[in-house]
Amino acid sequence: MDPLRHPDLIELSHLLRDQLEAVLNAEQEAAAAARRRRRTLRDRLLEAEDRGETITVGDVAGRQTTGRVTGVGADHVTLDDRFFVRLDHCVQLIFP
Amino acid sequence: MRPRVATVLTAREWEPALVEAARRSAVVRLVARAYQPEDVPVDDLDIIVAGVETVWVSAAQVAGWQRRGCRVVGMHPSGDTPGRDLLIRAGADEVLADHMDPDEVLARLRVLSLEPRPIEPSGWVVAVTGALGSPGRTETALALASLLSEAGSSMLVDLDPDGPSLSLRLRLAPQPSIVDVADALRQAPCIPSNMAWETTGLRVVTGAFGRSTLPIAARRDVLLAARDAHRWVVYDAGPARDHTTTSDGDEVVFVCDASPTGIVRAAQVMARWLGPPPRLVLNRIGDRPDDAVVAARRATGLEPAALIPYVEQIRLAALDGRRPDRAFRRSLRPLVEAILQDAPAPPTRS
Repeated sequence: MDPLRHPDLIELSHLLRDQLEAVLNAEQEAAAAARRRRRTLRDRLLEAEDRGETITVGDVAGRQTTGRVTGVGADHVTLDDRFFVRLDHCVQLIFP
Repeated sequence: MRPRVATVLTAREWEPALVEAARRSAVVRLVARAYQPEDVPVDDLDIIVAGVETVWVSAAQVAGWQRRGCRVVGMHPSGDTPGRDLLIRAGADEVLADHMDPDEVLARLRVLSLEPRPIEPSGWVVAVTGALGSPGRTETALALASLLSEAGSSMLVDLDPDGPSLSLRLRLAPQPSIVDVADALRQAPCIPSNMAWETTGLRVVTGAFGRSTLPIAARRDVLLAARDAHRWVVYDAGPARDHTTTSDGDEVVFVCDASPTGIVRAAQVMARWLGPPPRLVLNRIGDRPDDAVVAARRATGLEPAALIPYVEQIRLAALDGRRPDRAFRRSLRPLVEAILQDAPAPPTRS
């Protein structure tokens, strides 16, 4: 029998486990926050490509282009294999 | 075909390293990095990679993903034998030490994706709730589970955080309770047979006294495991507080006392209700049922799905620990028929 399943210790085991889980949850929350801070536009576009999402890209000239993300290069994103937008010209991305 | 993969976000280094390798090599399509279980787009995935350090990655959760057709790869810290054993017991398709080279992990993922996992049948979950103080939630849940058991195996779970009265209602011992079930489900993917009570043709998981708030992840584990083993799962969710009260249900039954106070309280809850409209049960209808129905319809915007009369036998049956009275069950029939009609048939094994 697991000693922490003993009736006299079960409350203690719950308490210890709750504390451990609080620490693990805090670590995961910190990881999520750190990820948000490190994330770049290119990361999100790569995610969109892998998901096959259709997005709208607004560029510095005020144009908006809508299409499925079919590729993300080192300096550009391709929509529907036809539209190429330079990443440093993107000012807005609208996701579904 | 590149497999669609999601990782579970963690503070450990393997996850960002795997993401980096996946983006560099494009061997897999990385569609999500999940922070919470609801972030996992399980229906659009082939593989989920999760670390044992994540609190909500339990054996029940792993089994739940697998039933929906996903392969699960478990990562554990090198030398963490209990963690590795937990993943093995949970039935993860692959268990890897997290110091493994990310490119090697990706190669394993590709091999794993060659054999897709079939989607398995899964039960339908009905949450029973009501405004604070609404009488008859437990009785409705019990009667509903009992009636649904005629159309397939049924489980009743008491998740009422305020008054877990099911064990008293059915005259069952306080233990094993939902806390014991939740504990067991960290280690095993299904509810052990000695942890659920068998009574009146139902399997029952009773609530726990003294530990009012069960963590959301534990609650989800219990319902996942119940859904795995039964065609119907009914849970008493307690008073509706926010959307998390009933978010684990496929549909919601809302019990409302037919008194003016009860209807006003129900209207207050409905005013801030999120999600699809629940099915309304009007309980303790007096001499003028039509008036109560009109008032409930006006105040809540819902059409009552069942009307429960106020008769003494219902109360006596509850006090005596008997199964719900015939009048009560008969009144719930229209609701049960509506549920049976609308619930999708379980997917067949492919």
